[in-house]
Amino acid sequence: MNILIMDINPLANPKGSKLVCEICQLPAFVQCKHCKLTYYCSLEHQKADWIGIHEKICDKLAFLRQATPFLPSKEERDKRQSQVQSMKIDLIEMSRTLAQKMLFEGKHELSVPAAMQSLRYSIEVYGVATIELVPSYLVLGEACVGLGKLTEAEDYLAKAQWTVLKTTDCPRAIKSKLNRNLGLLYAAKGDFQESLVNFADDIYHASEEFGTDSIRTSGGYFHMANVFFRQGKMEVADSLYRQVVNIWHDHLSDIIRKKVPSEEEAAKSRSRMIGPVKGLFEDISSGLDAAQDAEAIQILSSIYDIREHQISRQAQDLTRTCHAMAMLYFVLGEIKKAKEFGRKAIVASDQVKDDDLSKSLVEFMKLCERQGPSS
Amino acid sequence: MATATHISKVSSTGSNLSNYANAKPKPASNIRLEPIKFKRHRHDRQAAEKSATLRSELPILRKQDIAKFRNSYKHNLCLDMLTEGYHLSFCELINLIRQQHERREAAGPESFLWTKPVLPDQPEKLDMMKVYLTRAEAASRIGNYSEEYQARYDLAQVFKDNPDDQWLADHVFSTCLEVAMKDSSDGGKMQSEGHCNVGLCLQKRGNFREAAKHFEAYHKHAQNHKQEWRMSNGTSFFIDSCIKLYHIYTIIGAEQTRSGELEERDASLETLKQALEMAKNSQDKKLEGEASYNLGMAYQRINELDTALSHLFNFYESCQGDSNSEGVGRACDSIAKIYARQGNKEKSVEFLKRFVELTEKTGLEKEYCLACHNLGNVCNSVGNYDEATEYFSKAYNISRALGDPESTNVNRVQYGIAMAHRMMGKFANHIVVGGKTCISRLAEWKSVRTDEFSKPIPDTVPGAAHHVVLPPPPASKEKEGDEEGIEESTEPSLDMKIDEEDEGSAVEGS
Repeated sequence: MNILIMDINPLANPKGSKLVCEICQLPAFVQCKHCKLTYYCSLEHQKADWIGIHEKICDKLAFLRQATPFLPSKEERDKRQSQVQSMKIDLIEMSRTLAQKMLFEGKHELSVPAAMQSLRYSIEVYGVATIELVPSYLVLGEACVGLGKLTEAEDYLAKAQWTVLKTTDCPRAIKSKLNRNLGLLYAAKGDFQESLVNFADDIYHASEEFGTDSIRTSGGYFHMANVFFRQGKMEVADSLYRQVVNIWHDHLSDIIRKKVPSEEEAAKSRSRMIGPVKGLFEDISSGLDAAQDAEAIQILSSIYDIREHQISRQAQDLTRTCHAMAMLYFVLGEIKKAKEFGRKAIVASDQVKDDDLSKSLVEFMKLCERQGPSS
Repeated sequence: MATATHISKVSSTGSNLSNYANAKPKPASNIRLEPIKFKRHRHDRQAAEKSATLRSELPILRKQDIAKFRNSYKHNLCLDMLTEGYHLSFCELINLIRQQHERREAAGPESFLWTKPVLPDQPEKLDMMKVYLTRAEAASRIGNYSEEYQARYDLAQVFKDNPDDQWLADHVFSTCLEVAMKDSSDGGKMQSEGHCNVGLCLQKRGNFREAAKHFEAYHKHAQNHKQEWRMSNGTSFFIDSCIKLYHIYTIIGAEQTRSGELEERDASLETLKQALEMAKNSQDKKLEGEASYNLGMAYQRINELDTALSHLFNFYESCQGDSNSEGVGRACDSIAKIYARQGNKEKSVEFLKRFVELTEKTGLEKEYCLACHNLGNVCNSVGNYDEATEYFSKAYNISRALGDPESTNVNRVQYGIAMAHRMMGKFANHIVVGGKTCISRLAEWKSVRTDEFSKPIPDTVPGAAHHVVLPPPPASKEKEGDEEGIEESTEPSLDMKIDEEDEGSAVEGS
């Protein structure tokens, strides 16, 4: 990593040009060796940026930050203009998803550079007070909540809220996101009542947009359950957790059912194949984006933790949670973990008298075995 | 928006003041800030005072208060539910609203559904649903299923009476059943009630087969507790289930009979038999009679006349038992028809006469008319033209009095035919005998239609004029007449045609 830096001396900069740190906007002493267009005040900031986002967008930044070449014809200029624009939008999308993913993984510190990057380019593309900035503000807000910087978080979220308020036809998805982050903020502050109201608003908007049983609504339920859990209202939290698990369980089994070829097809493809048997379903993908994957892992594993340590749990809840986890890992291609959770689910299901459930579990384990050799 | 800017103004002046206070050398904490004094006009002062009092009257708005104005009623209701943790109720409500919306969209703006109010526009209904659903959810959370069932049942009762809300009632009843399925502590009483309600809903919607399935489940549960389980009015569940099953089987049976496929028609017999069985179980004689009648008619349709007769006699007896004259009439009529088809004319006439007497006595005009008509038909077919004429004339007069054009027309034609038949014998006789008197009578009839054929013909044995030369109409015609009696109500126009042809041929024959 160190080879990627180059020292620079601020005094040696050309006159009039002020090189500032990408992260903190202070005078820069270090420069990225790769693109030579990004500057940092210190090694730490360079590292943070590199891990956070720069590694993935270095090339794009190099393209965007280079001086505009001289283009003689208007067509060429227009073409370049549109090229730059689409690249910026790409960049925004990418960095935002990345930041969101890191947030779900709990790496709040790391997500800040990516979120800042997306905010910077959003302002450049869309203008100062537009609805397109809101997702970036929200990610930043969430990161700040995660880092415990509540005042900063409030700043960002207030900006987002004001923009949403002024936009009359604001998409419901954004409203739901905003309310979820506000809820998280209030929960971090300890104001549970206010945070419940915000989560409720989040769930309402998400349900109107995606339906009550969509995975995109499940996040709201999950956070709400956490608040109830912290308030000590166990039965409410329990029932909310159950719903979250059910939503993911159904969604994941749907994915598996659609992606996995039926028995006959599998047999056909096996007979056609020569040589060692490869994994039959290499093309299995989760159908979720990176952030959703991370969200699923975060939600399901924390519910699993809670269920495992709960004394008065119902065996069925634990089984379903384990099964959902197993399916999730299966879809993500981590067969070993999938098998592990599948086994746990089977152990838990011994106490449940539900033939359908055990049958589906056994089938799932067979699937894992078939998929197994390739991994 | 106005309030927002208002507030921001207030806060900005506040901050200015504090800055000002900080700038002063004295500590600001223990000394109250004096307003800066400068001369003001009285007008200004008054205006300032007024605005101050107005502002003090304004309530301090919290976020929820603002939301109340900004959001829709439904939105606020949902928020309330969710903050209290009733997320399942919320899901149910939202999905119901969505379902209604989708159906409306599918039906389009020209449809009848479009004019109906939607759920989000009915705050009282939403409130009510919230109350009951949250109560049910709270009960379900602590595992008190009977309480949950009760809450849902109450909600369904609210919707039951309004036909616009039938779909809601259906939904709630089916969820009631789901709840009842979870709990078997009371031996299935709740389940049986749930099955009964869902069955009723399905029956109302016209889904008879499914309804029958639910009623069967209801019956099965109730069978084991014939005595203990009673409704609020004292009827036991078992009897109630039998009655409901009887009704649904009868409806299904009728449906199967109407259908074109042969298998279905065979199945209808089985269904009607089940209906009879249920009617017997219900210990209600009247229902049993009705069931026998339906079964009898079904047997008659597939030509098992003896079985049909025995069932119809059951019905006849049960009707006589509770002096249901309308039922007795119906029984007599059907029995007579079957006898007629079996060729047992005497019996047929006997029952028809009973039918006529009965209707005459009880003053059921319409049935009386029908009875006369049928009796006339039978008499006509056995060649008893005098009586046939008599009955048809009765039928004709009654139907005229009733002002029913269809039956008037039919009876008019039949009356004509019967008269023609009566005359034909004598007419033919006159031709056979010949002679001056006869010829002159014939000529007279031909020109002015004076009927003098009944007078004795001179130079012959007295009574020769009444001698019937023509045989009764052939058997095929007899059958037609019979069928016409049965299907009179369904195909009057066809009957008319047949009758007119008959009359035409009769006149031509003369």
